[in-house]
Amino acid sequence: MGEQNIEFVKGLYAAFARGDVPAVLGGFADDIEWYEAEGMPYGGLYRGGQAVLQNVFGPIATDVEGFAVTAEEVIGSGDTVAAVVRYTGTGKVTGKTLDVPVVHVWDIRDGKLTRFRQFIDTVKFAEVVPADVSVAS
Amino acid sequence: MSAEDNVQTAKEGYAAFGRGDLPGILELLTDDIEWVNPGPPDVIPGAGTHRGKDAVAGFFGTLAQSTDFQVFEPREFIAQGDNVVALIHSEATVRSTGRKVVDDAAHLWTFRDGKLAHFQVFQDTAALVAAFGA
Repeated sequence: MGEQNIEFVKGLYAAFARGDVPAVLGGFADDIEWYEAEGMPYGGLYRGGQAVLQNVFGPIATDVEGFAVTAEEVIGSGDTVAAVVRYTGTGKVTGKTLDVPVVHVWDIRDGKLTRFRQFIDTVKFAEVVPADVSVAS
Repeated sequence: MSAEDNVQTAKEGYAAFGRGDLPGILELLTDDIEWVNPGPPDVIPGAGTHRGKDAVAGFFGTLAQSTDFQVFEPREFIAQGDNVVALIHSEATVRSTGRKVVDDAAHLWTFRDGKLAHFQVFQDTAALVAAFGA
């Protein structure tokens, strides 16, 4: 089960990397709970893939040119998987380079993602995308 | 060392922290430990990268002087191979400002031969800046 879940999560990062958002959303349970760190311009709890698309994926792709998430380590042996990832890109308004390590924790049930939790140095992100210049503001 | 052994070591580390046993923490570390706390060091005491046991001991001194923890709970451990991710809930008061910080963080422990070689904290630093800042 653990290996299967890790391959599943890696597959979703690969889909995100090639811009296949429908495949990413297809991996979400209908009632996925998405906890975006409060200190992010997109901070808060969202339920369901459409809410995540509208409140997180859409705005971040506008705020950060060439936004990319690279999974460096994917860790787990059960229904919870932690990914150590890196966010990269360029702030659209500031022109600053984004390069920040992040931990994502995914809960998986019946082959779908049911919960996402994000742990990120929000100050470092805000240097590239200050909350008041984000399209989410 | 198995992932289970590494989780056990991480739990011992948190237990040592809970009883203020600094030697009990330091004995879990490699001599060349790299310890990374995020955030701006000019605002958050102890932020930055600390290399070697002496530097890590210094960090814990800074932490004790700056922060009074009321709650420090490792709630989940996710492990595989040489890596352990621990999810920590803490509630603390910043001594200099009297402000309260409620924080959920991820700690990444990377082991080498059963000892902690790299430790990195991932957390919402904006909340810490708000608590420590002027």
